[in-house]
Amino acid sequence: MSVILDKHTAVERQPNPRRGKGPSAFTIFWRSVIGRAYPRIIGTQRELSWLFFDIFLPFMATMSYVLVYEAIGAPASYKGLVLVGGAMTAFWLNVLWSMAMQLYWDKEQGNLQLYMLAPTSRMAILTGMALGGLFATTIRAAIILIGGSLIFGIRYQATNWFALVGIFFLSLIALYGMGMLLSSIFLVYGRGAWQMTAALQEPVFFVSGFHFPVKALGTVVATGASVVPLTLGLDAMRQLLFPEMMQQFQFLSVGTEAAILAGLALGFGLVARWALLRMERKSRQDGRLTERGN
Amino acid sequence: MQRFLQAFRVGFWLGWKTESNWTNPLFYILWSLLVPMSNGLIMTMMLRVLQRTGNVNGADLLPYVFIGTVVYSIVALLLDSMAWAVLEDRERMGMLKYIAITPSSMYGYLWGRGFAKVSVNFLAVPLTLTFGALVLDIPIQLSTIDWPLLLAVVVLGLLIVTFAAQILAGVTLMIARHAGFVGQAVSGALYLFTGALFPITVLPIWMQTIARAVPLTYWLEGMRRALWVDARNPAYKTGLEQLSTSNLLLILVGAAVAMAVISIPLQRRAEHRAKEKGLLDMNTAY
Repeated sequence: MSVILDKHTAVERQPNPRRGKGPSAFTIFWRSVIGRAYPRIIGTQRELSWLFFDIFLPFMATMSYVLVYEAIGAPASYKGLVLVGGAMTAFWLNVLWSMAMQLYWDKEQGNLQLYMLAPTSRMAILTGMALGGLFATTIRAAIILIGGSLIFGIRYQATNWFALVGIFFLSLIALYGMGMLLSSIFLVYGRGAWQMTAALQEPVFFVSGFHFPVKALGTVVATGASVVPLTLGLDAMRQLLFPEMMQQFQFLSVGTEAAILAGLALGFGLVARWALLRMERKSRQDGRLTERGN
Repeated sequence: MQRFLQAFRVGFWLGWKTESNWTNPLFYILWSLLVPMSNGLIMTMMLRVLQRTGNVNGADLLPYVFIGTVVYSIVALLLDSMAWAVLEDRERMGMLKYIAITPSSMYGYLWGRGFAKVSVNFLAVPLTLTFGALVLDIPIQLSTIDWPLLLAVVVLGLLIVTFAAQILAGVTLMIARHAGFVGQAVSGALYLFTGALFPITVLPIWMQTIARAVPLTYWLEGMRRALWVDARNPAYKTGLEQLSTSNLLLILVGAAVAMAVISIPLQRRAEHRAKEKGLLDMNTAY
């Protein structure tokens, strides 16, 4: 049996007989993803109150916005525009409160130290969080969209469903990448993270044009708001769903928006990974990983 | 009553510290402006987009919608505040059980926590309305505001919302954390039935019946009448223009009494049940 020299202690030690026989890094990564996504998917079914509070009531809130247009006799396509935006708010809320805030919340709960001790990538944990959240949120968004379309008789004029689905997923990948980035940034924050997240909620509804075409805010604001992937994602999806009405409100062409979204998805993913490592190191150095109630 | 006031004072002090001491007071006030300001601007843009394209029929609803949505931000915050205080103290701070075993009033404590959260909004809402009047041409003028009505409606409305928030806090005592947004969800749903964003006459008849049974519908109508001189113009088809202001105030008084009668025993029942089922130190985080 070969003997190796420990580089730190300079003493002989026996090689681990299990070394090389355990699961690969790839397997561990995906097991972690599934493990973290699991409670988000299963947990929702275990608490039936969630169905009421998280689906039915937000559905009614979205209906309220649509009824504003109903009150002033707007054409059906305008109601559709609000409905699509209302459905997508679910994703923004999920990213803010269940992605960006989650590591902070885990720190408060004492779970974060367990993540840090686990022999897995933190990116795997964030990916699992994102996928689990996506699943539950997609159900909520779909119910809002389908229910609202049926109630208000909204007709979609989409001709390119492939592009529509592509833009939808591209937007979500970029959005959840942004959520991962915010999550790693908020890792080092105290209670300010909570307030910052709250501060991002309604203003983003406004500047990203969740309830009206973003072009109405002017090119400068719309360009600035494009850092939130749903700004361009919503504009592109509306162009594909209501091509006639969106001719006068088109901010950028669908192709350009898709290209920017792809760039954002890649960029947020890479920056999130870098930020997570950096913030984790900083948190370790400052002793903030186990900090609670600050 | 003395126990209630003492618990209210402590809850308010703790709530204020928790809510505000993460930053300096000026930034905190600016931060608290974000929600009412954004909501007001969203509604403004929604209506202006249609007006620009000529796709609009009927009266200009912007003053109706703007006042409704800005004032409603207090409802949303207050409804959420007590439910959130329950979750925060139970799951984050782990101290709800200690409050429950002291002889102080949990009712008063939660009221204090709730009012601490919305207290800064008592400044943010008037500031946003002023912004609307100055920048967005919302027809609110100091000289035309009905101040006695405004005072009466604000007090009665706050009582109604606080009792409603207490009911949500009682519900939150018995459920897990996913309902962390129970207040937001309920206030979002009530958008539909209170005429905050649109006149209730837009709704189907059966939904109008529900809307007329929700006290907040009358509160918002009262706020509009106090702030906006043209609020009772039949052109807006609010469905409440026939209701006299004195009757509206009577409805608000009755609603405040009714909400108190419902919420006080319900809170006691919820507390008792939470103790019985061991929920006071429940910790749920997915």
